[in-house]
Amino acid sequence: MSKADRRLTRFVNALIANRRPPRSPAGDDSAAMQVATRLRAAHPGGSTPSPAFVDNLARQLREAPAHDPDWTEAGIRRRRFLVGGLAAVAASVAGGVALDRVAEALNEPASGGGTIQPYISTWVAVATLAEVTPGKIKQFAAGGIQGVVFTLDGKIRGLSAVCTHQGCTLIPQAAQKRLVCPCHPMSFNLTGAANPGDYRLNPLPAIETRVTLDSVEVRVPNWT
Amino acid sequence: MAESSPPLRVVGAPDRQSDWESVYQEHVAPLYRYVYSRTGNTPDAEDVTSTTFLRALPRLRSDVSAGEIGAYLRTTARSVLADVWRQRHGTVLMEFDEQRDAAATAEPERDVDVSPILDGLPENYRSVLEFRFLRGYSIRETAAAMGVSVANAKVLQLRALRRAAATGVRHVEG
Repeated sequence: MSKADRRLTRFVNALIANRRPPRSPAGDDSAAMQVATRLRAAHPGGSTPSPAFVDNLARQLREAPAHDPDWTEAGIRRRRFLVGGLAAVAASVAGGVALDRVAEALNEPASGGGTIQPYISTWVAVATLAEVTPGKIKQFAAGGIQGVVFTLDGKIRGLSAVCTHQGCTLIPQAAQKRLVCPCHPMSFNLTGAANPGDYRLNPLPAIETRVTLDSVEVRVPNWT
Repeated sequence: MAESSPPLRVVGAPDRQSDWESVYQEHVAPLYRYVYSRTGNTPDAEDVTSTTFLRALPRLRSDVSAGEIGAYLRTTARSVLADVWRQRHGTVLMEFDEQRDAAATAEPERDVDVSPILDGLPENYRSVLEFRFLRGYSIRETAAAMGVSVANAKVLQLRALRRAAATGVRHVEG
C-alpha cells in the first residue's frame, strides 16, 4: 500500500468507527475523502443529535455573554486585527477556529483568513478567462469587496485585496506572485499568507470563485 | 401571581432570551443533520454544530429575521466545516461539494441521497461501498460477504472511493 493508500484507509476506518478522522494532508484524495464522508453519513441512524448534546449546547448558549460579538473566539486565539472595510468584517465572521482542536489552535499562529461567505450573496463576473491565465492577476471591485482573481496550482482562486493591517488596497505584482501593500513594506503571497516582514499580519480572506463559459465569477455581498 | 407570569411578546420588542431558546429548539436538529451529512461522525458533527451556533449567536440575537435563520446557520456551518477541513487536511472543500451544498439549502431536511455516488459504479465497487459505509461492516466481514480476500477488500474500497470521486467531479464539470 502506498502512503496515500494508508492515509485514505485511516480516514475510512475513523469514519466507520464514528471517530474524527486523523489530521493528515488530503493530497489527491480530497474528493475521495468527501465521498467517503457522504456515504458514511447516509448510513441508518446517526443523523439525530443526542438529547444530552442538545441540552448541553442550550446551556452554553444561555450562558453566553450578550454583548461581545467576538466572545466565541476569545481565549481560543488572539483577537484578529479589525481593520476598516467590509472585507474585514466578513472575515471576522467567516474566519476563526473550530473548537474541535482547541489545544492545537493554541499552538498555531492565527488560522487562515477564512473564506468570505456573504450572508446575502450574488455571483458577479469580474474577469475573462484570458485575464486569469497563469502568471496574471486580475483586480476587481464588486459588491463592496476589493479583490483579485488568478490561477494558482491550476485552480482559479480569489483573494481579498485589502491589507489586514490598516486596510490599504494591495497592489498586485504578478511576476513576483504577490500582493504588495502601498502603506508599509509588507506583502502577501497568493495563498493569502503574509510574507515574512516587519509586521505579523493575519492572512487575507479567500473569495469564492466559479467559472462560467467564458468568465470568472466571484461570490460577493448582494447590495440590491 | 401576575408578576411571575411570562411577559407577553411584543412585535418589535421581542424578549430575546426566550426568542433565542425557541429559535434554537427549532433549528438544532435540522442543522445537526446538515452538518452530520458533511462530517459523517458524531464528534465532529457535535463540535461543528456547537461552533456554528456559538458563532451565529450575536447575529441571531439581533438582526436576522425568522425566515433567514436556517440559511444563515447553514452558511455559518459551511464556513466552520471549511475551517476544519483546511486545518485537518490542508485543502479546501471541493467545489462540486459547495455547489451541491448551495442546491441543498433549498431542501435541507431531505435525507442524504447517495445514489448519485453509487450509480454508474461497477458492481463490486458499489458492493464494497455499501457493505463498508452503509452497513458498517468491518473489512473482514466485507471480504467474507463479497467472497474476496481481506487484502483485496482493503484495496477495493480505496479504488471504489477514488472512482466515485472522479465520477462526481466529471459529472459537475460536464
